[in-house]
Amino acid sequence: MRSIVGTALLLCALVVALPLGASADTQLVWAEWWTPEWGEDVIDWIVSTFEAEHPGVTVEPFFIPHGQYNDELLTLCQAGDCPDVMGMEVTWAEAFDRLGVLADLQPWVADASDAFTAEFNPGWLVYWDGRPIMAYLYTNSYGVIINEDMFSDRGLEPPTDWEELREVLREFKDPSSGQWGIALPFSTNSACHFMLYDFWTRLVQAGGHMTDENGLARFDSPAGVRTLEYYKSLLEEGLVYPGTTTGALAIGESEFRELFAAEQVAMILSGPFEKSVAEERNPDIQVAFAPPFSDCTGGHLVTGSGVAVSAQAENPELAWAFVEHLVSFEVAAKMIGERSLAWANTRALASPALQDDPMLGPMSAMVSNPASQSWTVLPGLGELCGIIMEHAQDFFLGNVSAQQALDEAAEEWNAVVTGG
Amino acid sequence: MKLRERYDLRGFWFLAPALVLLVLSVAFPLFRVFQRSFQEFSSEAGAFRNVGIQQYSDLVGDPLFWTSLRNTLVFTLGSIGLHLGIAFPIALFFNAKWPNLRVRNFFRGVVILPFLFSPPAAALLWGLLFRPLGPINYGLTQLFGTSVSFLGDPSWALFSVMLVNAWVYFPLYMILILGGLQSIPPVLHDAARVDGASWLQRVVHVTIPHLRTLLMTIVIIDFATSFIHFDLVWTMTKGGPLRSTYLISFFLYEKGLADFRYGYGSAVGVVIASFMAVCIVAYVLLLTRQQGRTA
Amino acid sequence: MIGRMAIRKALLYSAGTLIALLVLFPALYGVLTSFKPVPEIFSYPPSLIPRDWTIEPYTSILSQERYTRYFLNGYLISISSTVLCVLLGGLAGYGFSRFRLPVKRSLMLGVLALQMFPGAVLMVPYFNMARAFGLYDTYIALILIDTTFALPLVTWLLKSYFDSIPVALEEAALVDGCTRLRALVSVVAPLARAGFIGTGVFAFIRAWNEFMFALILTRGPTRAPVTVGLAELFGQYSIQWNSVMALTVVATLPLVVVFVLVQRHIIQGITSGAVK
Repeated sequence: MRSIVGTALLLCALVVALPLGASADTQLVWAEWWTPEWGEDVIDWIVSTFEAEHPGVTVEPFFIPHGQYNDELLTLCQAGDCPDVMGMEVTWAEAFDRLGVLADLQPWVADASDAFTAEFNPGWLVYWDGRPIMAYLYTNSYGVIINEDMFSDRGLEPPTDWEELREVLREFKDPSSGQWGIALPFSTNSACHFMLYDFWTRLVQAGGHMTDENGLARFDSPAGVRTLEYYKSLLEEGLVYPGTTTGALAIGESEFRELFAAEQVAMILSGPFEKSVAEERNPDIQVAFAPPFSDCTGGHLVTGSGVAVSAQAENPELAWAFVEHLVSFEVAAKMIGERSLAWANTRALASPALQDDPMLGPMSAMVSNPASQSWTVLPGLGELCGIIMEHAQDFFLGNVSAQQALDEAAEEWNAVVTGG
Repeated sequence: MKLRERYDLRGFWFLAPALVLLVLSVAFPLFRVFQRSFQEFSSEAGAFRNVGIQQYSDLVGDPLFWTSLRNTLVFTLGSIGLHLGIAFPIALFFNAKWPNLRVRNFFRGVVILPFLFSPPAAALLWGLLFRPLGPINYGLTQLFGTSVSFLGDPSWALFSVMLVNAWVYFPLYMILILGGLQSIPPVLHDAARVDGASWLQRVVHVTIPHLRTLLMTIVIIDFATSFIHFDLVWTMTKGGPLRSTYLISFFLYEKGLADFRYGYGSAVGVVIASFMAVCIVAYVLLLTRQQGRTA
Repeated sequence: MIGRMAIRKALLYSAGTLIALLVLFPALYGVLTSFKPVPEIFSYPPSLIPRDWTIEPYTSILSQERYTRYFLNGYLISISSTVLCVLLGGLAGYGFSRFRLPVKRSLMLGVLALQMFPGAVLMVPYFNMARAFGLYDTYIALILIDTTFALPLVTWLLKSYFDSIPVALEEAALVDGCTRLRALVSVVAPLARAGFIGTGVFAFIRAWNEFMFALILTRGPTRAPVTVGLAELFGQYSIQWNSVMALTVVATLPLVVVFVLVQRHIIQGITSGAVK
């Protein structure tokens, strides 16, 4: 009898204790879009390593596909349901900040752990309205990427500047087998990528600036004209996949990636992540950055993706701890090694192996060039990409001159930036 | 007991369940949207404040609004024409007397296939088919020595997306029309045949008049769904090239929602709905007046 | 009349084949694409039949539990909302068709007007409503929304089908002592069977393809339908082209089979006996 009562009491205690135990777990929600790219294993590893160091804490990764991420997150946040730590793109940040849901990271940065302060470059904080609202997890720069085998098969050397690129493109052009030297994203489908990979990158090289300190357009300069005319000259010579201008207007970034992996083109203009993306499709492909180009300047564009912390977070210290974890050495080493991502950790980036990495090695040179520019938070950045794209298309199709196209784009750009 | 002499309020019982659901789930939120169209979100207050008709005046002053309206009208009217033009003959075709019903049923079952592709899947599929060195252009080059950039050429893009939209949706309209064809009492056709009418004359004088309400309804449905079309074309072109496929729903989405300018988005929504309502009411009045009968 | 039959046969069959080809060729290309490795999809010259058959997209989908969940959810939500929609719409369509009512024209146009807002406009209000009523991430929310979105057009469609059925039959039934409801169910509905099929198909596919609200109102695969699963294949950098096709095939295959089998039994011409 006593044993029965004893067992019953024990069971009751367990039943009562379990829910209590469960509710003693603090929850942290991490919104992200990276699961398809990195794989669920990597996400789980990131989460479990953090949970191991913080007993009693559960991190719930909340996956939203990149294409719908902005919409869904805005909807959640306006209803007061913002995830504690949110993946964030510079393109989206301003709208969230306008809603008032992004925490000012400055106090956290000032009070951060030693590891963070030592290994996080302050340039990786993204500012808006004088406050850091976002921290990069990885930075990117863009340059010409080559398929090494396709070059060696033809006995060609990788180009080292824009004119050599033109010459090499002539060598690769082979319509009968559907092969070209390069595929570039001129489709409206990937307007932001045209602006970043192609326009802004070439603009920096041409000695120009996208905006002034207030975000107003400065790209309608001779450097801008030089940029647009360069690409048009490539198009007119039929050097860009698929050899016609209207054809090129149908090629977006997902297409150029597949063409590169399928070895229909020898080069693309993009970032270091392309290596792992291409290898997933074609394990035998040998991918490397061409040597960093130099035109009027040797600068490149510096961009990245990162995370922001919710101003509504119940547990802000925990949220910040998770951010520190994301940019910690262990996570950085893994992401650098496995995904060719220039993860935001100086110690991991300084490793000698990195300098030999065909992607990250050249990229660190590109990024540290004094003329390199970083892209900034601006209101309506998504719209701005569309404006650049549309007017560039107008010029490529021969409807307007380059200066005209840029002037019209600048006018619309400024209206968006000031009108808000 | 004649069924249509005077008001018979018992009819409201039949309407009630549907109306209740619609009022609760749509009418109330839409009223909120209407309210919002006169407001703007201010980050200082962290809330919406009233700005009168400013959203509407901004809207009317934006040239992109007018471009997208024009594109949308072309898209909508063209789609209606395409859908009916394809679905009606095919429905007639399936309604004809077939020697072997099994074969007919097989074809009829198979023709619904496009409708089963969800918008993103169809967009992807046709993106592959239409691409510059893809299957369709390969065929064109081999046969005729030309190629067309269906989605990259501003003069082709709108037509191309209309074509894809028609491919996906025509089976639906075919089924709807077929349903109507099968409700025509055979005696009417028999009588016309006895009078010596040819097949075409029978279609024009028996079939179409009998299906008048159904066809009108289908036009209205097609107008309503095509005007606010989003998913398929957005995935295919995002409004390009050169804004040639930029529809009014893209304008609402990009300008209003993607940057959380919710007041502006609401105003755009109200304007779209009002415009559509005017068109449809005008259409209905025109048709029922012609007929000289009340609905 | 053998000659005439033969000509008719030849015309019908060849027209049928032509239509089937034009309509099916893209679909066929899509299905075959699901068996190609992605680099082959982008190779030149483009292939129709895969050179390198791969069933990896299928094994990947069929082996993951989350996709089974997506299918089940999709069917559950779509079937439920179709049934609900046709029920409510059938009643309302009958009411509009057979009764003289005050403000009827305004009501009908009002119902239609509710259809005229782009879905995006309702994103935020619906999300807030769902949370307020505790319906976030539930089947009910999605079923109600899908029903609501299809209801106005379903009502209009069914009304027009009912309109084309002569009133004489119901009058006979009413004289015999039937209630209006009974008349609808036993006399009118069977005659409008073909109309119900078409309308049901419309409502089903509309629910089946619903994406935006399905994504916003669910969290994870527990209650999300297939459209959400499909969106996961659109990564930031690359699209899983073959998997998208494979998922479409796997998800809609049951629908195709059902439709091909069932339409044979249900869609029939009106026999002359019915009118008598």
